[in-house]
Amino acid sequence: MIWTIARKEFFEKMLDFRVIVSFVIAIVLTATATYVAADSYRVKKAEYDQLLRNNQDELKEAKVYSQFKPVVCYPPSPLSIFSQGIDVPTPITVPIALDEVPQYRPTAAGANPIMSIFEKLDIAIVIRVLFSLLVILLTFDAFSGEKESGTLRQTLSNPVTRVALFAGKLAGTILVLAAVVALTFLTTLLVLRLSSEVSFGMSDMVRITGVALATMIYLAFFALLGMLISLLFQHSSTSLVVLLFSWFFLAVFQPNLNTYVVSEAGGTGWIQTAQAGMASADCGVYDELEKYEKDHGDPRSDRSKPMYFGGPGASKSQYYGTFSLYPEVTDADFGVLQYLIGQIQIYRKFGDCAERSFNAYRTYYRSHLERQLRFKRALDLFSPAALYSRSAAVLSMTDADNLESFLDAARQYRTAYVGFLDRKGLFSSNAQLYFSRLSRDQIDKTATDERMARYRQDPESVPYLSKAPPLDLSDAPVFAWRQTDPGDDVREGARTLFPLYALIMALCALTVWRLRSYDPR
Amino acid sequence: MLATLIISEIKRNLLSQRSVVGLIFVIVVYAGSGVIFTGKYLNEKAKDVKNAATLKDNLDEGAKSLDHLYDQWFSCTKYQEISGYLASGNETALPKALVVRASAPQGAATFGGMIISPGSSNYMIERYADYDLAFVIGVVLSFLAIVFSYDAVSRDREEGSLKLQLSNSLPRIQLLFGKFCAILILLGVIIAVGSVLNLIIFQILLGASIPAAYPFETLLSGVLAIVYLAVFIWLGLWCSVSVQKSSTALAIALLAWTALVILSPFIGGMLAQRFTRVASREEANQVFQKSISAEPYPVEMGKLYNGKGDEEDWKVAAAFDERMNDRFEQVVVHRFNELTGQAEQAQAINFFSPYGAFRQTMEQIAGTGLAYHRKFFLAARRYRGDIAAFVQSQDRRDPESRHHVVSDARIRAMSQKPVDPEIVPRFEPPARRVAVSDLLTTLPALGYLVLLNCVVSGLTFVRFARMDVR
Repeated sequence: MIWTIARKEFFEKMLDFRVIVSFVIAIVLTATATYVAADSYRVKKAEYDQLLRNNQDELKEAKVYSQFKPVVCYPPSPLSIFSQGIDVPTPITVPIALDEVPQYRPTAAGANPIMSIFEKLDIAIVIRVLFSLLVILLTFDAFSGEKESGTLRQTLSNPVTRVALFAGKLAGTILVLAAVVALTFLTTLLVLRLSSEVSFGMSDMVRITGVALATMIYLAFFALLGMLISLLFQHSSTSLVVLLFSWFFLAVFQPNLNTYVVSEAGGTGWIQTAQAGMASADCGVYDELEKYEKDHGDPRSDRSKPMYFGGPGASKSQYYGTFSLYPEVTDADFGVLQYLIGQIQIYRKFGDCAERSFNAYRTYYRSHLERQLRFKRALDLFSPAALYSRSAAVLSMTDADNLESFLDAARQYRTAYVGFLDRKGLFSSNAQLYFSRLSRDQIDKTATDERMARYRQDPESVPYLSKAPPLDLSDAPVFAWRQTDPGDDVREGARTLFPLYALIMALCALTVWRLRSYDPR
Repeated sequence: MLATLIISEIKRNLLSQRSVVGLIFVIVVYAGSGVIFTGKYLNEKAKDVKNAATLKDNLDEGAKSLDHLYDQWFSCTKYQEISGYLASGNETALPKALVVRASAPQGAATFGGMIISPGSSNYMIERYADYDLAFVIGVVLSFLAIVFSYDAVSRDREEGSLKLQLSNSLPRIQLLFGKFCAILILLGVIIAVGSVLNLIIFQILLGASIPAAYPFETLLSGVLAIVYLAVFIWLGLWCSVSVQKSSTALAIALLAWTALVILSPFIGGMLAQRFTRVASREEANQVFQKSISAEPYPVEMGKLYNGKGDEEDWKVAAAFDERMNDRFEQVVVHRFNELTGQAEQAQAINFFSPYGAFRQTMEQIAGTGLAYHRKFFLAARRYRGDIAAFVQSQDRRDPESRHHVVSDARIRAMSQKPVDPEIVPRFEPPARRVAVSDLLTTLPALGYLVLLNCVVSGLTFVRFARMDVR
């Protein structure tokens, strides 16, 4: 009997004009959203590939250790088409350097920071807002409509229990939803296949299936809400109005409100405290460098030679004016080199300093962001739409935890990188002058192919090279970040939805309870 | 006859359940957005006070010597104002402060401080839409406009009262217009009540800090809101006369609303990224590097370092300095124009959706958003020039100075005397207040919305004139 009701419900809905109109609009919007989101992904992916290529090219050209400056990039997720997740413009460039422990820096993300004033469209938003509305339009008159047309009495005059009637109606509606969701996801995949070079592997398909299931659960919540409200009011028009306002609150208003409250609550005082705390972690290496310069007398003070602009070895940026002027280094300029070698030994202290300031950042700044995140997640427990969004983000690898796991991997890589430089003795002996603060121009001038060849024949003829082994990266550490296993993410995505299961159960119980005492006349 | 019709429609609307639910909802949303804004306003004001204190410290520190002042960093800050409630213009996503320094335009890493400093938002949390008046009117009230209008005609037909009404000598056009006016008046009253409510909330929570122009801005935004909401009323009416059943009309009207209001703001940004390409950070950095290394460091400056330079060398150094600064300035401004240009293009695309046009115009009235940010950026660049000019002029007055004011602190030979902090130019962010020229900028949106009104209402009238009322 349940099956009969479900089948009737299914076909009746599928043939309903408003359902057909809604379907068509939903599919068109999904296809548009997919096309637009895929395009935005393509742009980001191109930027990411370019960054990787540039870095590889630079590493390939490296002749000395100071040119071994790896950069790792947080890639855009191809599944960001389904959910954009947190507001982090990808790709994010993370330089691996002695003097900084990797952390998220807004300055290193995305091509155009100003574009962050625009929101980004993804399938999850279309589902969150539009599909939930569709479901409400499907179910607002589930019982009251039948009562008004008199069919409810007829149905109940058959030997069918009210619980069975509810189960049948629910099953029918869920079948309709399953059809819509399946069609939507197939459309998305088809548009992707036709429009861009995004291709999905097996694990991605598992994740996409996960998103589809989460979608079903989210939509089932609205279906049940619609049924319950249609039992609570006499007229279907009243239940519609009540449902529309509930929808507006749940799907449009609440998720935003939560973020807003979390971001603005707690005032701005903490930023000051955090800045003060982070400033206290300054460990004075610059003072030490300055003292060294004073004590030893800078051999570069003879400015009659041509000068080059060049920043510290750790940074590619160059400054005009007050910083970093270096003379051309020739084989004869041994005084300058000795000076630089002394400098590099102090320079090593930037490594410990970086760790200290990262700890301060974590204690004073990040801890607050994490508290905000926990607060947000606690508030979201009461918001079906926010739960759904988060679940979709987890499955699409675009949530905060995913970025954090990447940054963790980058931090480990930095530790290995510093260990590698130490292992090569780059800071401990005066031989390692090539890890000194030389500008690129200087390095190119000093480590020319001709000199390298000369070095191979007679090491003593080239004083720097005889004291510093040429670059050997064969045992250099390699960055490895493996994204979470899809199985883990599916479990995490399902766990995120727990409060929603509870809500669904509660709605089922309430609907059955209300239906038992419902007057079908 | 029209007046009677409107009054009876208003009465009927007011007594329906939906208007009761809707009115309560809107009042809650209005009051909620006012209270939320107050919290945000106080937060931002606290930042403003802190920034002003930092700026004063910078000034006092710099004023110890003219030489110092030339190298001092100044943080130019935007100030939060009450008018931000009308439309916050996503200012949380744009930098609140830009850092400038007189002796050299800022370096490549931040391109004139354009990049958002950490602390402005939590990257671990998704973004949120701002709860400002533009959201309340643009999203909530337009939704209400649809809910009020989707069955204005079809319900009458279903109940049979439409036939009766038309059997009086009432032209169809008047009937439709009466229904339209009734809903518009209802929404207008909601806006008026909500605005007054928020004025009271601000008055109570923020005291006397409401600027005199704010009620006027509210009024102006009210006019804009009415024209904007009329589009949605006509949309609802059009669905109502085009489709047999009210429920189908509602489905179509709501889906159209979702597309126009909820989903369309997403499109502009993505299309702009599709059609205009901006240089990536990497490429921009390369341009910058190329620009500063375009010219070798003059040997004459080397002589100056060694203290052996003469007047001719100083001339060369000063000319080199000026060229370098110009080049920097060009790179920074070019990058700003490039990035902002893409965002402006996105806004131009979004302008085609009524919500986009409405929101952008509200931002113009409130003096927030991208347009204001552009003014602010240019003002900060100008301020850099002002400080530099001030330093030059003060230096000329010092008889002991050698008057060699160049960027490089190591060869600079200029006045070391302290200056009175009171006479150092202060940065004033450009005014957000509405000027007459700002009012003109609302005209395109008004014109566009009026045009939309004409089109949709025209369609509705034609459809209604041919409608079978049985």
